[in-house]
Amino acid sequence: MNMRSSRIWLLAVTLLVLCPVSVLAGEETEKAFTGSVETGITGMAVSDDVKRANEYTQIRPDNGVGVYGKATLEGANDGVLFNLDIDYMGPRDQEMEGGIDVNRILRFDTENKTFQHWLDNDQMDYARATMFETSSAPNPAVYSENLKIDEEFMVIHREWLNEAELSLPNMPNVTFKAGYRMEEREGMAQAITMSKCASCHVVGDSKDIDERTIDKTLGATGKFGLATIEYEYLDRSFDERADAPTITYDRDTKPFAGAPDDTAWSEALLTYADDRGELSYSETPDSGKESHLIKLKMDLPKQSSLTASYIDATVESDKAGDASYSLGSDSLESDFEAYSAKAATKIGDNLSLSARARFEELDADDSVVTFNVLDGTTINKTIESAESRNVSVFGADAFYRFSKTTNMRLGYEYEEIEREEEKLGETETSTLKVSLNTRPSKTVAARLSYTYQDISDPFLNPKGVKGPAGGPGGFYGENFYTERLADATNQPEEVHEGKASVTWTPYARMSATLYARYLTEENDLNYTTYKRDAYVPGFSVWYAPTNKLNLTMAYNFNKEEVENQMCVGWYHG
Amino acid sequence: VHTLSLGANYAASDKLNLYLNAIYNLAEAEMDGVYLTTDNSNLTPDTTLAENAALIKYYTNFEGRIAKVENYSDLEYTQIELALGGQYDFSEEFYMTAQAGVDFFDDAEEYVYGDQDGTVYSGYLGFGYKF
Repeated sequence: MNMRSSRIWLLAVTLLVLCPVSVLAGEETEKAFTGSVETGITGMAVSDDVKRANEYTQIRPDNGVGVYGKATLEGANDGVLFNLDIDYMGPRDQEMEGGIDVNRILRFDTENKTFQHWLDNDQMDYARATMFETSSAPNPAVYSENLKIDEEFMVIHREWLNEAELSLPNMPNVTFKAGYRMEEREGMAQAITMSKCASCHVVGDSKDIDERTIDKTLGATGKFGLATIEYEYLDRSFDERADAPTITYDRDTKPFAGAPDDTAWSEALLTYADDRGELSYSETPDSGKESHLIKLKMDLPKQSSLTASYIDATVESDKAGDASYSLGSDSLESDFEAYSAKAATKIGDNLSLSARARFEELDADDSVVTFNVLDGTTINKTIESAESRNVSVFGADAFYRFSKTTNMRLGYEYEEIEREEEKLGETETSTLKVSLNTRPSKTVAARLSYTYQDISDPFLNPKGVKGPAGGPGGFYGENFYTERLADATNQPEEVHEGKASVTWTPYARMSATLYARYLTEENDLNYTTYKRDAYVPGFSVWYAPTNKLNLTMAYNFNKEEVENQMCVGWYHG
Repeated sequence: VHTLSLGANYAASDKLNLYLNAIYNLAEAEMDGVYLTTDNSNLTPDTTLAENAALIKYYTNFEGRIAKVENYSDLEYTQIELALGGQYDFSEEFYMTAQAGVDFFDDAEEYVYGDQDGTVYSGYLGFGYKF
């Protein structure tokens, strides 16, 4: 048993130690605890490839025979409640839940899940399909190679959740909370990098994964008269403990006869060259987050309420250069602040109204990029982060009950996103929602809803792709790079979405639901258009002809059509 | 994407409970192809420069080269999952449980990730005690 798989048993022992002896001893004449234990053998035989047929591993990850074990335990005695549920199918497939409640003063819950996910291995044998004719053809050729073509990639996910609540008898209106969550991803995945100018030589290799995310939370909820106040502090850390893969890039080759063969040329046109030695790539930077959340709710007379909240969060991401290259900054930081408020009230017996507003400010560090020019000079360019923005949201909702069986909801929301990088524009979104719920008879219930969105200036890559070809002299530099006039995005300017569902329950042993969803969205930019349609009908049936037989059947159909009239440069464009 | 699921639970007797679960999933996707209608007649490359030789040939017959792509990365795969299991109670305390299943994946349009066809037969047999 390795250290990680032993955690589940350690937790079980911890809970048993925490549980008062009186519970386990069964002091009362009635059973103080119930449960079960189960054990047996598992087996798996695989024909051909296991990775898709058993992508999220069940029973076992691959061929072989193993042992499994399950156990449940529940107890209640003298105000103490206790439960434990263990499901162990192997070191890479296990689940455990447990909890203890001591006289409603202390509540502790813990949960541990482990599973394996098989990952894909891109064979990288298709890059020549469009660019490469023969080895002697004078075409720009893309060359790719997979150095780990037979490697089987997988990642093991582990998550451990712990939450504790404390309500002291002399402070019954206040509940203190603490939480600890650890998530780990361990395994090996494919890493891809490329060299020469743009992406002529694409290389696939492997990289180790050993990530750990830890969340620590502290907070409290207090009720003081009509007011409920909640506070939570979060401290999160993310560490990638595995070394990044490294590569020595290709020797820089002259793109044409007579081209200068020196470092300046390489640095200007090629990503990196072999004179840099081994360089790391596909590196995941470590990061950390701290946040404070405060919520206030006032329960007012006549079913009215006021809610307000404030969030302050800071995220820092760290990545250092090495002996071969340097970064403008080893640390990037973003600060987030959000204020929100909501008021709700009820007018008469049938009408409920609410209005809300939210303001967010996200301020991220700028990036400074240094370009090496062929003449030996350098250009420093400061780029505003696309994350930095101010967001304002206003909304209102109405709910009206026509009768005991029919009601309607109507909602409107306006959102404005003002980005610090002016080229990315300001996005304004108006959303209108309407829905109708009705029960025309005792056996039939129906729901209809429609959502419309009007979006101006969606997030896009300004002048990101090619417009009309043409230009003075030279070749792709003038004719393609400078002719990038077309804005590019797959974000819509207009969205329509309709949903309908009908549930028929002719008698207590049968229920059938028929549903459908249709969505259409599109944009029409300066040179390009984008359109997406989605159709999702389906049904589900539950039928129990006798007390001994239960039957279920469900069918879902999902069709999407996307039309994107955009010319994305395949090579130099 | 078509997804059909079936489930049945049958209490054959006071001591024997059986279940059957089945999932069928068929996913298809296709690309209509790439059409380039951009007018390149305004391109005026300097044909006297050696560095333009390869690129001139490439761009002057661009549409012809695009037409050489006859097939696109269509997607079609079928997944079938079947599981049959049950539990037999020898007494109120002791029971036996078992499950047998097969997971089938048929990749009809192998492309980026190679041939991913696979069949997995799995099962377990166990004994339990309730207290």
